[in-house]
Amino acid sequence: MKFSKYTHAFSLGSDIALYNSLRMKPVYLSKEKYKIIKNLLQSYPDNIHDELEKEIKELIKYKIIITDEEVDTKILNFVKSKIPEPAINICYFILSEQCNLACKYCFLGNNNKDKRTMFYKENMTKETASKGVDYFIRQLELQPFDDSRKPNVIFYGGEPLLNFEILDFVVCRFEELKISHPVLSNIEYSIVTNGLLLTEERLRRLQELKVAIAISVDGCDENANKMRVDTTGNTVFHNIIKKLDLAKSMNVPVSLSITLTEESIKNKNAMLNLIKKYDIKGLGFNIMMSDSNTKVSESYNIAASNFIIDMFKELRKLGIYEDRIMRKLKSFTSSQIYFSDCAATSGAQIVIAANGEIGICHGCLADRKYFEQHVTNNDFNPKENSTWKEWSRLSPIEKTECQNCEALGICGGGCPINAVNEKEGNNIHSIDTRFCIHAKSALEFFISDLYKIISGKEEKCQKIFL
Amino acid sequence: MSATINQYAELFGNVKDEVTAMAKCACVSCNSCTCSCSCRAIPEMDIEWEII
Repeated sequence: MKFSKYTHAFSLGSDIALYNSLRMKPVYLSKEKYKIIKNLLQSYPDNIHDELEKEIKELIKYKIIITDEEVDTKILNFVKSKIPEPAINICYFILSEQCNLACKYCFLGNNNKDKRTMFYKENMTKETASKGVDYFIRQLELQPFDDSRKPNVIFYGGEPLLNFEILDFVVCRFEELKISHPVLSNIEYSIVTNGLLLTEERLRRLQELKVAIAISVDGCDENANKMRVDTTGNTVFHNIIKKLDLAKSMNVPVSLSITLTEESIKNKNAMLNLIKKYDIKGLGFNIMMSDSNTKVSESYNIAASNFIIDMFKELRKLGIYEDRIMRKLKSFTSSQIYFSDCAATSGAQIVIAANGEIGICHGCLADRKYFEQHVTNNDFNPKENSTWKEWSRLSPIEKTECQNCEALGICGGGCPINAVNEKEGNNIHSIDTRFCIHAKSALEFFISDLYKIISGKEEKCQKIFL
Repeated sequence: MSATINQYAELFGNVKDEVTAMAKCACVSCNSCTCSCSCRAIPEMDIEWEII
């Protein structure tokens, strides 16, 4: 018997949590018992120590202790066998590659004058949109029918509200085709927008069309939003607030997409007040990414990760859904490996650019890297396509350098584009180290929080050597 | 000791299942916005762990 190579230890006061990063069930015991077990394992026992039989059985059950040299290999192979094959379920419609803003952290490149010139100038036409609808349906119908599946259409940009007419057209078209295409039964729509072009009419219409609205904002005041600027460099926070006020007055629910700037993470209370003021039921915090010119610092990554956890603790009391933590929490509580944090890295998405070119990641919209398909191409199959196959294996489960990480099971990897931008010489297979910090801090929080629930004790959680 | 189902559930606080107003891709600067695991069915693995 010995500890699995995927086993990690966390100190919690006088107790310890042992956790296999792939089996994902923490076991808590006193440090005293842990020391006895550890010594026992080092003496290569033939049988289980009677007094610790119950603990050891539990540790074996959750693969924290393994009884056979081969088990670790079997565990990894088993988990890898569950990585889904590429199969499209999410479709981005880039209604317009143009944007009325030039946010300074924009990962698409709208913050960069040269990159802005690379975007397609015309809005998506009805013809392209119609072909895009058919294309997505074809992709959905490549797969065996599953009535529980929820295909997702995301209206994106640039700024998608620059082309509202086509959004309306696309949704109506999908709805018409539901009768003849059962794969569309559970289709969901959402829009990610800076909100500035929302009007009463558009809000009403989005609500009628059942398009979930995510408005981007960076915090609760002008200072926190100073990176959210228009093309002349003026901040726009006050205008965003007007739109939030409008939505609230019309009882149109919106969610928030909040990119955490250095300023916005300084004031948790102000952030909470903004969320409560607009009766926000769901939001997602985003940790800024590096680009070719700007590298985000480790201290910021740590602060942002901690901010997200602190906010989650408050938001869950209020019943407010914060997506960044919830996706990891769901993985942790169900002990279900979280293979990909991004649909692109599981080969599950297509991005239809405004001119009908199709790629795998909207982060590559400017330079059109990985945009090798087109809405007129009828024989695309992601299972047979080298780009989709390559991207679908970007899970940390596949990476040698991730095997020793305690957060392996809940991570999902980060953004391959950020990985490319983090360091010279990186490629999409490199690690998004910004995400490592977030995943590890989330795991430590889950382990210590669960310990508090079980034991009633609140202890600082610290990873230690086995 | 390990947690019970109810104890795991307490980690969610008062958060109910996914809110209908929550956009699936709630971000502008991506940061891995779309959670493919919540959009696609990943096979349950519990029973099979017992065999390993």
